[in-house]
Amino acid sequence: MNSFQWKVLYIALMAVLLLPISYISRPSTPPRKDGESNPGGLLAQKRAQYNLAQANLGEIDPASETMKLALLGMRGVAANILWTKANHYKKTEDWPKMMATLEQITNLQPNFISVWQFQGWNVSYNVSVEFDNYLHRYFWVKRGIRFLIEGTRYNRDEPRLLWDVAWFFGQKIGRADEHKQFREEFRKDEDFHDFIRDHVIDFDNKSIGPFNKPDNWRVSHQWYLIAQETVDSGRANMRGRSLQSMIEEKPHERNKGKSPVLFHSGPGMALINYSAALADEGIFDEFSESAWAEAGAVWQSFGNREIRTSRDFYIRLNEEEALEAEVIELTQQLGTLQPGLMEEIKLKKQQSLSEEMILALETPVDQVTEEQAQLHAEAARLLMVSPADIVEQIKDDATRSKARWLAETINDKMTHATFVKQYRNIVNFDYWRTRCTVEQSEDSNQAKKHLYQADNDHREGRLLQAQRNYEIAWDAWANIYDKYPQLQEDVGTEDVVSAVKRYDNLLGQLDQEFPADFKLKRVVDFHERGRYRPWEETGHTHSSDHSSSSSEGPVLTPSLPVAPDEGTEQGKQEAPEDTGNKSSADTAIPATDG
Amino acid sequence: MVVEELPLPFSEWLVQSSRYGLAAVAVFLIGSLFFSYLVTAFRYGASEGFYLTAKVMFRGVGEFFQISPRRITAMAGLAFKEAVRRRVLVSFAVFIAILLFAGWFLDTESTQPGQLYISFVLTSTNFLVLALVLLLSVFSLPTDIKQKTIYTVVTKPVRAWEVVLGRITGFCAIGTLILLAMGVFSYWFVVRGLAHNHVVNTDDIRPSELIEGGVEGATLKNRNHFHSFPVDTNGQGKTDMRMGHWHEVGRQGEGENASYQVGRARDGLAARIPEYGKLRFLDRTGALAEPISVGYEWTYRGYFEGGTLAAAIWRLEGITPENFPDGLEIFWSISVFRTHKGDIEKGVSGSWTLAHPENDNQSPPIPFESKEFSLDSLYIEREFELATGETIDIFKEYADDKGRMDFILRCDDRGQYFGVAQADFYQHVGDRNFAWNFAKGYLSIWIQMTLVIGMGVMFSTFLSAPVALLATLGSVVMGFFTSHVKELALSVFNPENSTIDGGGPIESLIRLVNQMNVSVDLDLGFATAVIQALDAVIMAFMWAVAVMVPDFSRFDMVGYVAEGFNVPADVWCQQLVVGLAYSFVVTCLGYFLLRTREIAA
Repeated sequence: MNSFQWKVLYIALMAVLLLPISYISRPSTPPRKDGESNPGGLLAQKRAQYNLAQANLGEIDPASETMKLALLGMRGVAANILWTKANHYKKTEDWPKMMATLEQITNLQPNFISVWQFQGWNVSYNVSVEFDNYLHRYFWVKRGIRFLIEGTRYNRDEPRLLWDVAWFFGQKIGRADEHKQFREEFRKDEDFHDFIRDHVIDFDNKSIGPFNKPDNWRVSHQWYLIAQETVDSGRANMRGRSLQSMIEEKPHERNKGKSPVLFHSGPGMALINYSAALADEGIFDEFSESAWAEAGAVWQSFGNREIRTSRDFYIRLNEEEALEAEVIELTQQLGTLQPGLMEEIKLKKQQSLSEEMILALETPVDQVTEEQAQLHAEAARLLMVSPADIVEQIKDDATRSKARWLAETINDKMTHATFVKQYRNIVNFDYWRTRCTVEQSEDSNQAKKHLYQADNDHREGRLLQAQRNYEIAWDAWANIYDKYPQLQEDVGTEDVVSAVKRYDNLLGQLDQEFPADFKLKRVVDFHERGRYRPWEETGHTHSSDHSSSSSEGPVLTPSLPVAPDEGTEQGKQEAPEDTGNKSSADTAIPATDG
Repeated sequence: MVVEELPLPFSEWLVQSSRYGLAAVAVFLIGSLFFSYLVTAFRYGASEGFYLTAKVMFRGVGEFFQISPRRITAMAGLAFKEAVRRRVLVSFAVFIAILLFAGWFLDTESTQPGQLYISFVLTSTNFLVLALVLLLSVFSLPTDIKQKTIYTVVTKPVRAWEVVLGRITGFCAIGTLILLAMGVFSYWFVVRGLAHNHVVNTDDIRPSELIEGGVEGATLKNRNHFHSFPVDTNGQGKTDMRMGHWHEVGRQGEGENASYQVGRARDGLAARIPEYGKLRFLDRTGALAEPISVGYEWTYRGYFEGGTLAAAIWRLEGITPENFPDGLEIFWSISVFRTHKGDIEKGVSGSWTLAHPENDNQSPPIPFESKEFSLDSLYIEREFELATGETIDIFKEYADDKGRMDFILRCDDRGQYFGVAQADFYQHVGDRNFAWNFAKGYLSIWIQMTLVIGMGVMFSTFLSAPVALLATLGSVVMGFFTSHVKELALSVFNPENSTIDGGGPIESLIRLVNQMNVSVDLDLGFATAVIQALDAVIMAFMWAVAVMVPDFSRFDMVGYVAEGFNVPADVWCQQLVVGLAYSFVVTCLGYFLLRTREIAA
């Protein structure tokens, strides 16, 4: 074939290839008046199915599109160079250039969620702590939040970004070392309020906290609700591997996205943290009680929400008690199918135990050795009569088939209950539910208020008044722990123990002995492991805890136990948080500098 | 402003560089002659080769002294017209389009808009002009040669020198015109872009707590910022410094009818002349020592401990009453490192002390509260009163007869650290005109432009247009990364003391494909040694090229102009000399390479 013939062949092949390409790439058309519409080719249908069209993702920025076109396909190279530059500017503390570079990066990669997440965190958490002045730190925290909110414009209905915005409002402003100052600045920051108002519906009603000003935790709550709504409505798109996408994915492929139980715990935790922050700021009585009531209601509704587990079935956190009750009832039913069988099986199992195990079982709990404790546990496990054990021993076919059904149902319910228990533990559901209830009580109000006043009085030198307030607080605490003994051993009670030490210090200043009938002995003993027992020693050396006389500002009221970590997933994010101090020895060194 | 290395005085630099430069020229000359001799000897024999080499060399030198400015001008004119015919002015239109849409790309919330605007215009001009002249210079000669129009030139008595110099001159002329136009528009863009005003809401005016009889207030927000200001009883005041500038405030009218006018932005576009000193550190016992590292990756600043005898001391010269009749104004920026939080709402305390270099005379400490990432200043009156009531003259007490004075910086808070670098402290000697400083920024771009034109014309004398384009582009890219290439080459030659991990090009490619971390050894047995040897050869070549091409990063004056510092004469004179030297070398190369083409029959 000569050159001309080859050219004709090539052109013909191109024409032939155009046919399938045009079929696949047919655009969709909007519905006409007569209701007819054309879904378009395969690509258009997939775009519509997964909301992948550019306009579906969010706003389209002409600057971004221009840059992407102008780079003639070298967007990846340009993005690499910009990322390197951004890291360089961060290293050399050239903040204006770093931000300008981030702007360019997001122009090139506006729909890459990790870019917004990583750099938003970078600015709010890492860059902000580079500044010594807390006002500058606040400015950069806000900068990171604005950056994230900008990302939500280009990635509409992206729950990960929305959740992160909520987290930053809550945790970074409300939990940083400078949280007192940050919260105050946030209240006064009308410009920032104007900015947020454009994004949050009914901002002026739902975000208002104490002093009739917006509160960061309440704003955080609003953003959590926005994130939740995108998932609940089904608008959250698959591209972002949101919770919605977990429906289609196999469990072992779900290595991205946020855990549903953590995701949905956000709104409740925001209000809980808000309520706890009120006590730190000396706000009690009805305002505090109503805040805790609202938090409790939201937490309860979180407990009633269906949460999808990793095993593809749904649970509700509130249903553990109901499930356990069902298990007990079904077990009793199983037992009645062949009365006496359960005891018979148990007896046989007992007879198979070794002598050491029997001895371990018979030894009182407070006298067992370590080895005996292990044998005790092993023996208890061996003595358990499972539904399968019962089914195996039933001879009658009809009865056995019913027993088998009961056994399977019991196992399902127990598995279900186990998952509920595990998921509850992830978010400390029981603790917060109890806490919301306790905090609304009058005892709690009295305990917090009088402790706060006692610390203030102590700091300002009104020692006798401080002593009276402390003692009222101890009475209230004792009532609380009597009603809710499970709270005594919680790590949050350490704040109460710190307050006891301050009381001890106060008594030293008043030259009085620590009361032998102190009502919170058990609490102190548990947390101090017997090393600190001021009520026992005559001529006891009073605590040197001077934290109430620190000039750092109002002492944090050790109202009720501070929550443990709310979730484990946040710790996996790329840029680790730095506290407001660049030293690695920060948390170990007490703030003694007045 | 970050200055990694303070520039040497021009005369000192000239002496040092001349030695190096002359040695390099001598090596290059001898090497070129020897290489030429080898080539001609291979073609024509040893003695004939020697004769031809000597002939070309002496003829070249002779023709150089017979260069006709008139012919060069004519050739330049032709090159100029050719460039215009090629529609180079389109690049100017592109530049205007970039300026018009700059707002899309610039960070509107920048805390330093002046820096951003200036960096933007200088950088975009730099890349646009270099790209333009690169394309212009490499296509000219090869096109003439291909189209055989070169014969119409060389048949006239135009020497090769004039052909090369004429093109370089012509392209430089058109490039200069375009650069001039871009400079004017850039200046207008920056000044107009930063010009703004503020309005004062008189309802916010309240009596001042600091000025008796005065008032204070705040402006309304404009361009993402506002200012606070006091106004004295005379109705005059200044706003605070925000986003790198401040405004004057004046009151008109009295009492309830008073209104407040805010003037234009000041110091946003500045060209400060700093006088830097020599820095040394004292440790906690007061002995001379190296500064402490607090663990930052960037080691530009050294740190010293607070609440001890540790200090940073700058020695300045020229501190005489003739130079500063009323007093001294010093500027500084410091980094703060806290080992404990202390009082979050208060900055770490520090103090300045003036000290005589030769005796124990020291002023009482002048305290201040540290401000990170911002320039702080202090005006020290020439005469001030001590606590004893005695009035002293700082020049008599603390400056020696050579005009030297020590400035001691201490951190007063125990457990906290200050971090400083040499360029973090300076004395404000005066100000240059911003427009002239801006022009100096463009001068450095002009020098880069001439270098690219020279290299482009030189390569085009013996390479085809696309190859010349690649060669020139490669040289320019190498020029921008010279220091990195040298550092990489040294790391490849000496892996035990390497500063850049990951090996040379081949090893890096293997690591990339296999997603191997740079800190992991390349464990391929015998192949590792082969790869590393090949990399060493490649890097040796790249190192040689990096040494030969001009270091374009040294022509970067954006930092000075953007941060409001005068481009020192030492610096731009050095750049000019380097530019001229390289231009001369590439012109000579271009001449001899064109001669080898034997274009004329």
